[in-house]
Amino acid sequence: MNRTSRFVFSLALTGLACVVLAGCAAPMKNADLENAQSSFAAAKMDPVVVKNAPLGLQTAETSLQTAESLWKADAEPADVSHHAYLALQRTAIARETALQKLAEERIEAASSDRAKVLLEARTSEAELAERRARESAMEAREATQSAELARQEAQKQTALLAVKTTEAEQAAAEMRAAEMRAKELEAEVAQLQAIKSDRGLVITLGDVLFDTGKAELKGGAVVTVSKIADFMKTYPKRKLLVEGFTDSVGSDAFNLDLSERRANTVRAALIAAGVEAERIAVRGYGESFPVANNETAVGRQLNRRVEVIISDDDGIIKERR
Amino acid sequence: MRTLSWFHLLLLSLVALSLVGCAANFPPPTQNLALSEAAINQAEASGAVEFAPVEMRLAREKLTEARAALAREENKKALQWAEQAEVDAQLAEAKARTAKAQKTVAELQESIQILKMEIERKAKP
Repeated sequence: MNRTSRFVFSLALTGLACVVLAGCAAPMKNADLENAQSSFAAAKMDPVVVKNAPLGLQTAETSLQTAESLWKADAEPADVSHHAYLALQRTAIARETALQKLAEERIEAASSDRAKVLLEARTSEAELAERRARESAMEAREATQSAELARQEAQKQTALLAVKTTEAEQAAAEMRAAEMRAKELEAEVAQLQAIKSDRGLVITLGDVLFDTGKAELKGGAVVTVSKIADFMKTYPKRKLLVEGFTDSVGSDAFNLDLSERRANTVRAALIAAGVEAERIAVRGYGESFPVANNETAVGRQLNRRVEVIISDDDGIIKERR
Repeated sequence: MRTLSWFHLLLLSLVALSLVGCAANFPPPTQNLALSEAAINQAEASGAVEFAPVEMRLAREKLTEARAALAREENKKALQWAEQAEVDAQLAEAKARTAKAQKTVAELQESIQILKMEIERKAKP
């Protein structure tokens, strides 16, 4: 070995060493490592991950540190990349773990929310049911009240109808009674052989009931007088006017006196039969107001009479003119 | 060999050392493969196939690669594939669990909404 060859040999060795060492001393950038580093840094900054997945972060960090020291030691890029990948995935696992914890917390919160809402639902349902019950009770009460009112109204109507019916019945009864009275009156009037005139009912007690020039009543007149008395008892509002008349035989003064006496006789007989004195008025007209011709005996007999006039219920009898 | 000075010795030893560092002797990582398989099974049981299909596929492929490397006696490669398969499976499982929890949250909130609406509807006379 000469000096030159020795020099070349040493140079070659140095070169080889330099080549080998160059790989270690000046490591190139590793994209996978940088990716893992930035991902881990982001996770480390995230408070959610820090709070909920500290163990996962620690595992990721260990892998990252391994990758970094390998890179610094100028190890195989594939090895650096491998550990960088492990760090990257473990960071992702830490993130997922954190998210899972968060979701589980939310599940718990939502469960208690749901329980609260359910309770609210039950409560509000109960309240609603109570309110509905109250409302229907109210409605029922109102219905009862209105039914009661309707019933009362119906009762009133019925009562009113009854009153009206009664009134109608009474009116009908009164009408019937009035008709009856009218019929009775007619019958009685017929019995009395009375004649209706504008002054009232006129009953003529003929000459046959008195002797000529006398004022005493004969037996036949008693029946008529008692009939009139009965009539007057039946119709207490009516009054009587007894008028006496004579024929033209004899002096006027005598005839006037006789006519008055005869009328008074009839009045006394009526009073005796039970008619109140104040209901009977008396007039004597003598030979005035003849009803027949005084020239004949029959005419004179017709003129000798007492007329009893029965008033209406108003008790007024118009005077003769 | 007087020609070999201390300087040459130093250089040679440096080269030798650096070569040793790059080619360490690895035992077969059978345990790691078992771990990955267990992680994959657990992830599947958690419903990861549905919620994290990408991660699951990666995990399975990497496990296959790990077995192949083991068969070629590339132990270091096998170890790395196995480790990656394991973290992929773990991530898949975590995603599945999170997704399920979030789904539960959504369902609960929806049921609360429905309840509230029902209450409001009922409250209206």
